[in-house]
Amino acid sequence: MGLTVTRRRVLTHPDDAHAIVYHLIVVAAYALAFYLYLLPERAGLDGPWERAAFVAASALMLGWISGIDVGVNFHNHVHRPVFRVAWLNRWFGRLWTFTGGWPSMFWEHSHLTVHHDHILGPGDWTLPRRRTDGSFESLFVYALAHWPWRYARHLLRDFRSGRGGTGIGRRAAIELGWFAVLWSIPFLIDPMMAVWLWVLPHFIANVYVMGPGMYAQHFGCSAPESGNAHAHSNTFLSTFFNLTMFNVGYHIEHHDHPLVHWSALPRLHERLKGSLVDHGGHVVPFGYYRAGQLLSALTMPRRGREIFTAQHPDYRSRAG
Amino acid sequence: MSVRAGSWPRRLAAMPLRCFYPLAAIVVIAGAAVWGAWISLGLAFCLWRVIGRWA
Repeated sequence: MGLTVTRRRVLTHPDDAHAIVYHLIVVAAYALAFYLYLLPERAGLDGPWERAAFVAASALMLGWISGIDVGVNFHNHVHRPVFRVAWLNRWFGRLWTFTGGWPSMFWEHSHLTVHHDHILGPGDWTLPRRRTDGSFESLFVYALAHWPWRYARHLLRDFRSGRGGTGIGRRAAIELGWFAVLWSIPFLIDPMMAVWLWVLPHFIANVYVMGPGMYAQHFGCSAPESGNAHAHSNTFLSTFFNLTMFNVGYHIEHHDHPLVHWSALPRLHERLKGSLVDHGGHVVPFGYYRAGQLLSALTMPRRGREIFTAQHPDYRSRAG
Repeated sequence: MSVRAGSWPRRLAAMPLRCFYPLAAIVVIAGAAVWGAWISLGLAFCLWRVIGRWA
């Protein structure tokens, strides 16, 4: 008697196993931090100063990884859902972004309907505001003012006006309800723990990780309508950065071809190299972290901007 | 035996690098119970500064 085994693939792309494992490690990191906070004697955290140091170290690391987990990792899922089953995508999405202080549908709306569909145009409220000369407002103002304040205002206006389709207001209310249930869990365990190891990391994730990332991706850029087809974003070529950040540095390529899987972006970059140079693409040899430091430099800020805006030596225009 | 690009062995080998930041977070947080919270805090800040300067 023959036995037929049918292998059913769960993932739409096998490399997305990395994305799922990444998120599971983020959840494990939160669980570990909560455990050590709640049982300080077991962890040898004696005294208030020792606990404060633990909270500071944990909040910084949790904020950092949550910022990447939502802004990069979930971001890829928004463009190309990781599962083949719709309800699994919806539920994994909900469980993905609440550890970064976001209802998944709100982030998806901000990114797809607002940012990708209107990049650098008047309808794209996700990006920094412009000064009268067209330049971005300061990185500090953008990062501190945007999450959650401007996001909340704009999202409310969008959902009330039906931007994003009919029934979006009702859907948003349901998603906000699920988010409230999930997000309140640490508060039910211990409210002080929730402030230091939940709210603070989410603040760091949004203000110090996602904010500067968004800022650097489009700093000094112009809307695609302006003629230079690739001038809407910056591309970041640090090998370590792209290996550890799901290739998010290939940002011109991503905006031009948002349905290309993150693992294929380096190959796409190789194909588009010549066109990037010819159509106003700005390429830098580092990643977002260095970019964030350059664009927020308190000493010699102009020098920082000059280093950032300089074109990668291998990508200087043939004409120039 | 050669390892094909995009194959599962290669994918598993890439996992620690792809998950570098959350694994570093686990080390820093768990490390507080092993070598003390102050060393963990120092590690977290060093990592933030070094990656910020370099990547």
